[in-house]
Amino acid sequence: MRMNKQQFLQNFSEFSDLKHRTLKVYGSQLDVIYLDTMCASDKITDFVAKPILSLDRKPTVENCMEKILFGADCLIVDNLQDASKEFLDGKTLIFFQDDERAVAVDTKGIEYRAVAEPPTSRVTKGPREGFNENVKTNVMLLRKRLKTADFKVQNVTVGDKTNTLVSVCYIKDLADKKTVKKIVGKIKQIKMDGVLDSSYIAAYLDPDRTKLFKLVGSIEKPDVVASKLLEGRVAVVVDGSPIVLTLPYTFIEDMQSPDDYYYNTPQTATIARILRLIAMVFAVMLPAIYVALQLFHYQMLPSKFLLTIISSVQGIPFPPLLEMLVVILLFDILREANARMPQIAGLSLSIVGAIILGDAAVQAGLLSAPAVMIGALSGIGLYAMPDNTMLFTLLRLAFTILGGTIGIIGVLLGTMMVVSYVVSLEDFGTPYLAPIAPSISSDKMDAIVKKPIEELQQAREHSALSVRGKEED
Amino acid sequence: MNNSIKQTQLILLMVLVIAGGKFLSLPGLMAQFAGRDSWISMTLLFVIDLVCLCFVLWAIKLNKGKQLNEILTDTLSPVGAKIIFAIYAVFFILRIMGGLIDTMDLVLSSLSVVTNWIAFIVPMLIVIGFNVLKGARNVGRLAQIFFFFIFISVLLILFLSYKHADFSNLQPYVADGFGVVAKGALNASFWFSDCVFLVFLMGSVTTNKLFGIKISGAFVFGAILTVMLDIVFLSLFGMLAQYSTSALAKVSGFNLTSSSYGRLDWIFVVIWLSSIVIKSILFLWAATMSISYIFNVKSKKGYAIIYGVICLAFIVMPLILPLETFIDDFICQGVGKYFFFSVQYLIPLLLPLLTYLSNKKSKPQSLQEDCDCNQNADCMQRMEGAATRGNGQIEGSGNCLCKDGAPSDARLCESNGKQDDKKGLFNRVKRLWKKITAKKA
Repeated sequence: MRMNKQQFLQNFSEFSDLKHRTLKVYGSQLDVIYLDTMCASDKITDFVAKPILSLDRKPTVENCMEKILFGADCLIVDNLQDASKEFLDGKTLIFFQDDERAVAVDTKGIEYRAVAEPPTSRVTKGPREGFNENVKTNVMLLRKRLKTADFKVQNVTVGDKTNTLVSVCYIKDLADKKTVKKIVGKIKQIKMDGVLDSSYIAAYLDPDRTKLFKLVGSIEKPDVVASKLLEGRVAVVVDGSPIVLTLPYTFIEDMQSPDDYYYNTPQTATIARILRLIAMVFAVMLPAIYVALQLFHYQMLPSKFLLTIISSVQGIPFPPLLEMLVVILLFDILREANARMPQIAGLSLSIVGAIILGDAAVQAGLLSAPAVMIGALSGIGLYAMPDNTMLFTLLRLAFTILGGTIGIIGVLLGTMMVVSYVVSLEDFGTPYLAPIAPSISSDKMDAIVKKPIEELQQAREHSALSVRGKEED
Repeated sequence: MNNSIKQTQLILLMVLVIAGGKFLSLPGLMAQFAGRDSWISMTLLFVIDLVCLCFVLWAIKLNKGKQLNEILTDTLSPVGAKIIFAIYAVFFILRIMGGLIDTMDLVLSSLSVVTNWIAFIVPMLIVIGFNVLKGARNVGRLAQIFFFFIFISVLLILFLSYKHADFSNLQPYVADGFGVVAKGALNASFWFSDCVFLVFLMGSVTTNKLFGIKISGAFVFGAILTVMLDIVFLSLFGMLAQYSTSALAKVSGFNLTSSSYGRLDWIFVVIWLSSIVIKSILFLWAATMSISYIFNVKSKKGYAIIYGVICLAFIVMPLILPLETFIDDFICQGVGKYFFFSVQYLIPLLLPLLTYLSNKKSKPQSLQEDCDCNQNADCMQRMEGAATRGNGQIEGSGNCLCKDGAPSDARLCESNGKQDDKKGLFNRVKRLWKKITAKKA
């Protein structure tokens, strides 16, 4: 549709925050239109009003562009659709007399949160910057760390109503070209009204049909994203979200923490990762094994331990499986309530839940002390890999039911089923369990056992092999 | 189904398959046949298996990207190939059925789980089925995850029980003559030849340096582990060994020296059970592949239907047939075992020859080498309209698009294929006549 000021104003007639100013310069009329809520008045004064009023000849599109060019980001729009898009993005439009074009000047005055340490990924030592909700700031934070011409950014706009800017970032030569192409293609294909957060995009990029396992990384720290980009991964930055997505994603990334690189020695990092792995096993399997032992295989327990358990469970009204399910349910309710409560009240709730409720239930003879202990231990284990808490909660429930119905064989079969499913998952050609299954020695150096950084650099001439979907023979 | 598998995965699978399932009722069964010398029968069978494995590995080396059905169809005719695959399917299904019945016995007797066949087999078949339908690559990756734990479990059971073993129970060696040992080996032969699953990976496995040595090494390692466990079992139980089922549970029971320790060895037994699941996956995958070759099934849905039928057989057969007795009487001690010799020993031994003949017959490589466009691999893939790549042969004619986009006559590519074998005068004249008539047209 050709540019027409009257048509444009009619389209936005119900916008109460629309401001329309008319200027007369050298006998020619200029219309300056902007949204009061989106634009900063000082920017309009500095980048629009002052340059126009300082013109020493009849204002034209070209004259204005020359004057404004260095002041702010500006472009010429020649149709209503583009003009509307730029206008809604916080740009000021300048309409000229006897010209069907307009100039859009960036006078955006949207407030963003400052760059601060993200609350969910704190580190003992190391960079404390975190992403905010502005896509430009987020890309800047990455570019600041990757001062190379190979760092590429491809922009895509998604969402019919939100027109959200999505930036796909990667390092040329390190990232797999096909993967980049696939990711950009998938994002372009997204058809939805609104993209309000990166999780909307993640849902489309995640190839796991069940959506149980997370196959898209979500990171709040630019230094971590930069390190992923250096491994050959692709980052997806979404406007309005402080979470940057990284692809392809592997399970082993869940076990890695920024502290492993900045603070821990390779040995302590290895121990920390093994502990996380044990915590994961505890979280998912401990209640199931406890129930299976109590119901089917009590001979496996040492006699003293068995006597302790027998004396504890005496008089408990619930069968072992139901008792454990009640403990898990109580824990999950407390966790869910705690997550939504104000911080101060949350602390009190933890004390009430953990000490008073648990202790009272044991004292009242409703639950046994070992069951509460096992439930608590499993609950703590859930947080060893915070990104997977909900998945582990679900698996814990399934395993507990299996353990309570067919004993330890059920736990074994459940484990085999989960592992079978997980090894079959692939994210843009990268196996989810790489570099363990399939085995990739160079990438294994930063898997569970962490090697010193200099050895890692030597082993990886370029990007991580698993990211390129390459397996070892 | 993705059946591509890596060498490392194959090595691990080989160890797991050799050792998995051999510690259930087999040591007791072999003790029935060969008494205290049953470990020698076992060793003898492993040596025969090793010879067969070497032939299979030789065939894999000779093979030029063809699958087993292509090789057998080329050399034994389609009907012959289908018969062989039918025997393979029955062999694999019966082996796993027997193994799973024994596993249920172990679960019932040792792990105190009260269950029935259907409740036991259905979850097992779900796990197996998922992997079967995903293909051999999934099993290979599964082996990479579980191998370490299974291996540690077996070693712990073996070495913890070792100190209680009385090796004098094995003496005197071969007291009843070698005939008894040979008879023991013959009767137990059905439970061996595990490495035949390899023939189904022909064309899917990537071979590189020392491939044969590494795979044979894995086989020997698995065999030594199995024989060692059998020796410990025989030493522990002596003449009573033949009455003991679930050998591993019996062996691990000796770790219980004091009541202050619980039966923690059960944890190792349970972990070891995962090797049976992996073996079952691999064998049922091979059975599914066999049946799919018979009915020429290539779709995912088709594989699912075949596996569904196998599942039905697994659920129903043990309920209507005394399967254990059937396997013992008809196969192990009866004539049934000779029926399976064809797929256990004959096909592996003949496979290098069959592969050689198949290669010679279709020459898929020469097709690629002599194409006029010099982009042969691509040329074969991009052949439009006429070219098919069934057995490495190209039929008909059409436009062949090369990498550089230059079209050439597919018949030029074709001329090096099967049809080109006909180099007689008559055929040359025939081709010339065809060219002339084509030009006229």
